[in-house]
Amino acid sequence: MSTGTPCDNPIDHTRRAELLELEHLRSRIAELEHRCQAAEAENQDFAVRYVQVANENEALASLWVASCRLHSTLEPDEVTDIITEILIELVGAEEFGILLADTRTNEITPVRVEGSAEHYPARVVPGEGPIGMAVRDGRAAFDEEGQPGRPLAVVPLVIQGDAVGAIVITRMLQHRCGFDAVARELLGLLSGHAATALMSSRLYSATDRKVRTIEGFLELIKGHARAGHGAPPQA
Amino acid sequence: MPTVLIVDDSKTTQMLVMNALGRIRNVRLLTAANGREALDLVAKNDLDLVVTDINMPEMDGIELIREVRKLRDAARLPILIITAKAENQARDEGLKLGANAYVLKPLSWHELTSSAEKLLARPAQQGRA
Repeated sequence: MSTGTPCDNPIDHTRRAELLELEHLRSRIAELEHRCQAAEAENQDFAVRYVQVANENEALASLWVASCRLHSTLEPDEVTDIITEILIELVGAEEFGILLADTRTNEITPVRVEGSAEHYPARVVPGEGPIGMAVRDGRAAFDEEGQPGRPLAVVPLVIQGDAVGAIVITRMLQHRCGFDAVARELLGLLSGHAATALMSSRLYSATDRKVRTIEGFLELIKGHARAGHGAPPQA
Repeated sequence: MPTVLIVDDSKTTQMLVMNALGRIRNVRLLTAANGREALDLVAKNDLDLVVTDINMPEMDGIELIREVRKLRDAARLPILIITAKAENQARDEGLKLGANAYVLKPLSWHELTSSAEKLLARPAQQGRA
């Protein structure tokens, strides 16, 4: 005669094994779900980082192109054209001015204006008005709300700590609202590199003009010597 | 190897587009500064895509599209327009004349490369006459 404990019953034994198996499968499912969630989170993180790296890459490429272009010529007009191209094509500015300070009069005057010239006072003095203040402080000023009569951005052109002019943006392309991180970095790059490119090209141009004048003068003296006193002695 | 012609009088835009499209695998890039130069390159090369600006000296982008569409060998060559939003009339005219897509200035690499890749991925018979 059997005492009849449940374990001794082969059916109960099978059922218990099945329950254990079920429990095991449940915990396995829970573990897999947890790992799946972790993988999804990691995937999401990678996607976000991919976008960040792609944006960084794009920003660096834009900065590289801008930098290469700015230092590709020593012609002052061409440098101004290149700054204009960068402002339109890379920053997305529609109306803007490039202003340079005159060291003799201490006034800042536009050397290139895209769009209406009425945004620029006839006479800008460092320290006066939004343009003059940004030039005096050597720091870029942004007013993205676009208050009437005020520029959206004033970016001083700085060489060795001294502002030699400014880029003044009064209107952006229609579909650009404000200045994103890339636009601000580009304007930061322009602040230093455009100033150097503009000033060095102007100095080169002035020096080149002087050299040509002196060469012309020397040719004139030689010609005069040949006509009046015979050919100059050969070395 | 797909060949892409970039047409723009601005060297800055040319460099930027070359940088962006240079990331597409095995792509050969040609450049032209205006529509007339571009038309010459279209006639002499087996192109897979033309990326063109609208405002250019000598021959603008609209005229270029019109002339390209007249050529039997390039009648269905994919054309991507680079345009500012304010140039919407010219852009619409370009699309009506047979340009396939457009991207807005200032250029976004992602937008430019994905539009170019889509046009390059079109079956050859759709791209050429």
